Amino acid sequence: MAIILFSRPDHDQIITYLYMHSRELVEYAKQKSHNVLNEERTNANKGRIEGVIKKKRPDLIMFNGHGDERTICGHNNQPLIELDKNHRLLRSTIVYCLSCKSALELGKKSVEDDTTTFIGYEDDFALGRDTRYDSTPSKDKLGNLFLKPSNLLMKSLIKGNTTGDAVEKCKSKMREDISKLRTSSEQNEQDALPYLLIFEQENYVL
Amino acid sequence: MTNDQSTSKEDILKQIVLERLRQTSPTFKVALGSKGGFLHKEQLINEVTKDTNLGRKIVDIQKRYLESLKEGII
Repeated sequence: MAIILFSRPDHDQIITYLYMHSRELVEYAKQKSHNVLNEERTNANKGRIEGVIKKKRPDLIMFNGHGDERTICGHNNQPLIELDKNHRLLRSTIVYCLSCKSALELGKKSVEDDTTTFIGYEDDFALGRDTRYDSTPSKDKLGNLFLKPSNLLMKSLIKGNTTGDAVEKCKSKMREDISKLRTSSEQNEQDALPYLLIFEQENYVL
Repeated sequence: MTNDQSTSKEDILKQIVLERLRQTSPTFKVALGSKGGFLHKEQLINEVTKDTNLGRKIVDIQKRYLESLKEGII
């Protein structure tokens, strides 16, 4: 049984989309009998996240949220993890960070100790949606094209697969979807293709 | 290649991207990074037309997609 921490803020349109799509991951981790620490909405704040990491020493952490090269943010974009301030908290964990550009500096520095694995994005991540499903995002096939592969990656980690395998599963699913969409007659799906391609290419394991 | 030729190539690419964006479905929205939320067709066109940072990013994404098609990567 692993200890898995989720940081799931829910304070703007983009983050709410991630929040809703990651709900199934929390349930999945519970079904697999892991010790699940779900810090969501206002609880995704620096005090709680730091405290939980120090006290429980999670094996796997998923961060949803905004961020940049040096920072992972939580509720209301409060910095949770900052390079050269508290990034060493991530030591000896597997981190999956669905946050813009975090793989660039923060991710690279975090893995210098050889016991930490960091999966993140080197660029801004792209997220498409179909406005016909604004009130039912889980039924949005377009949104699912972007976030289902990410969920596949996290589920793979929850199952205990290697990070390399998890990333490859995610990328493979995206490549499969991209290939199928090329011949789609749905304009929406054609519109999503360039952004899906970037999303697939910018996901890295460090 | 002279600067004039280079600029002209960029302008042509921008026009191609704008034409592609004009075909975008009215129900499609996309978010790129932390700023700006989800953008619909007119907002995407506006960013590219005004040559903002986001607009240049959109052009780059579309360019990479077209190159991938050309090279048979996808």
